[in-house]
Amino acid sequence: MTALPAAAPALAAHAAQMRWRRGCVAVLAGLVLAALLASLMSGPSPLPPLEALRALILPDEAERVARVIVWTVRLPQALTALLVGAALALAGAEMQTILDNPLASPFTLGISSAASFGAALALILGVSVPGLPAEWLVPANAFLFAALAMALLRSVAGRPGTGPSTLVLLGIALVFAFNAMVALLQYTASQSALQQFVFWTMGSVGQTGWGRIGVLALALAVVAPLSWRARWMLTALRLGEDRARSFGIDTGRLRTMALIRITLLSALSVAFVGTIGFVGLVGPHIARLLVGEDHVHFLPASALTGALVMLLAAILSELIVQGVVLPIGIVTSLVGVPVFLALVLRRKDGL
Amino acid sequence: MSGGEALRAEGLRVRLGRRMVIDGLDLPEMRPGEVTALIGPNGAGKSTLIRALARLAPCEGRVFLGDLDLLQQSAAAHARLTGYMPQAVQSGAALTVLEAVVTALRAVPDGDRSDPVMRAHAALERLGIAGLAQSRLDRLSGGQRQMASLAQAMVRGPRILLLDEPTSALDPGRQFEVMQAVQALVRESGIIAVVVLHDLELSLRWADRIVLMQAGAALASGAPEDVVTPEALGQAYGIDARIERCSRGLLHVHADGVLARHG
Ligand SMILES: Nc1ncnc2c1ncn2[C@@H]1O[C@H](COP(=O)(O)OP(=O)(O)OP(=O)(O)O)[C@@H](O)[C@H]1O
Ligand SMILES: [Mg+2]
Repeated sequence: MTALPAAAPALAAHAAQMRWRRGCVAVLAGLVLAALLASLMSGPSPLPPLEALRALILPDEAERVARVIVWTVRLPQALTALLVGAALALAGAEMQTILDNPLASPFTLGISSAASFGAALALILGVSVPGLPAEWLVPANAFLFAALAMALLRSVAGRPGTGPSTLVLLGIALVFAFNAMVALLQYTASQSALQQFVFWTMGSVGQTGWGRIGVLALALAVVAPLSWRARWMLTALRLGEDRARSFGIDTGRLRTMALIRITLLSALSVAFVGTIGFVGLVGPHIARLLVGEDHVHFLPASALTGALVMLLAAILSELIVQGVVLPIGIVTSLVGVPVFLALVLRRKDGL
Repeated sequence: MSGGEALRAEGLRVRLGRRMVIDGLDLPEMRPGEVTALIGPNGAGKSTLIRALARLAPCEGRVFLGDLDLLQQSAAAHARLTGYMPQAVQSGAALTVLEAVVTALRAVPDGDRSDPVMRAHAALERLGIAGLAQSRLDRLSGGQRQMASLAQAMVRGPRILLLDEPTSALDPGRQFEVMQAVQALVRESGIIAVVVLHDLELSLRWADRIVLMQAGAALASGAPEDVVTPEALGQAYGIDARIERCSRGLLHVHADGVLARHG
């Protein structure tokens, strides 16, 4: 790149803006790491930072108790929170772009309702995929139904001339349909099954394990590079449907591929930790306020913000009520909503 | 620049829903370096025709650039040849004008290795809106938005420019500048431009050829002074018009009244 002198102030301003955005992404990444460490330290028996670090990096030299706490409880839970937060926010960012709607989240189109129905089937009626170990029954069911809902949406999205509004309407229909079926199941459920189901819907990272973490990490490792490859096409879609098509983008295909990525990420998240909806909405929103909508920065910033919000919620869920771990889904909303509102309202004033 | 391969479109038919919006339309041959203005009343099918040429509306018929059958090209190949500017410029995107133009270059790479930011900035300078580079798209005025939109259509160096009412929201100075910029670009680079205009004087001033559309067909086409006649204007728009040549040789249209509309 040739360095132009003062002749082009716009170019200098643009370069400064890019530096600011890269800085934002780097700072977010740093905050995620800090929150990860903090979540290893905090909990029923707090560990000082150095000890937590030592247990993490040099487990053989750490005290046995610290090692067990970090490696069997806190690290799996923290990693689950991190991965789920990143997955839901990335899915939310793509969803908002392909639906041209900043209020969309992975749950707008009925994916979480479908997943809830799957979970309810397993928890209340005991219906699930045969041959699976018990701890995978609920996630498998939730995932299956989320994927089913998405397959339905996908078949519509691929048709020529289908815009965002058709998708949203179909999604809303799915939300109502699955919610009604869930209500029906709840109505007929036994007391204990109902309790289990309600707890599941509140969201929790307590049920996690290395197997689930592996699956989530693998899904992200496959999906994130594909999102990244589509970053410029997604940005172009923000300029309008016709415009994007006139650049030679097959928008139907772009939407379909994005829907598949969104399903995989959000269905897995919901399947493993329950219906934690808010992160998918708030992550992209905060990212948009920070770095705008060029997806080169918007996608990573969304994923990092989501991971950060979930990690903070996981830490807070143990701190709010002494000795009790609140469901993380509840904490995410309780803490996230005020922060979110503050950001949104401040932006309005600043205009 | 490019050898004189003309754009020909014959027997165009576009069906939208159940309606045949364009039915058997023939366009005159459009040569590189020329501006063709598309005029006609609201609902005549101008936007539909432009969208069909941009392959955004399903279209039957023959559209050839030289020997190249444009309707048979892959979407990507067709998009490389054409630049399209929509009539309604919606954008609530949190992007700057410069970013939007960079995105136009980056969305589908065209093999040009030069820095997209520099190319985008050059396009803005060419249109005289480099000052808007860092303004957010969702905070522009209507006319500024139109300028930013035009930059996105022009920046990829298309051989065919399809502009749907590029001047409708612009002040008189900007209208002049935009038409001048389009004409200069078209002449220099041997581009074929098809421009929808409602302003008859702009069409007379800047177009090499005018196509007057009505109800999905071409009512008249040819040299500006042959198409814009009191009879044609009466038939198309239902106006009672006078056309006068001013001292500098330019044609001016005066609408003195409204006739009973037919159709
Ligand atoms: N999706 C559609 N389905 C059916 N009819 C349509 C559709 N879109 C446009 N039309 C009809 O096609 C006709 C031509 O529309 P078009 O937008 O091409 O007009 P236009 O000449 O560009 O008008 P204007 O000067 O107002 O922009 C109109 O009568 C319109 O009602
Ligand atoms: Mg129109």
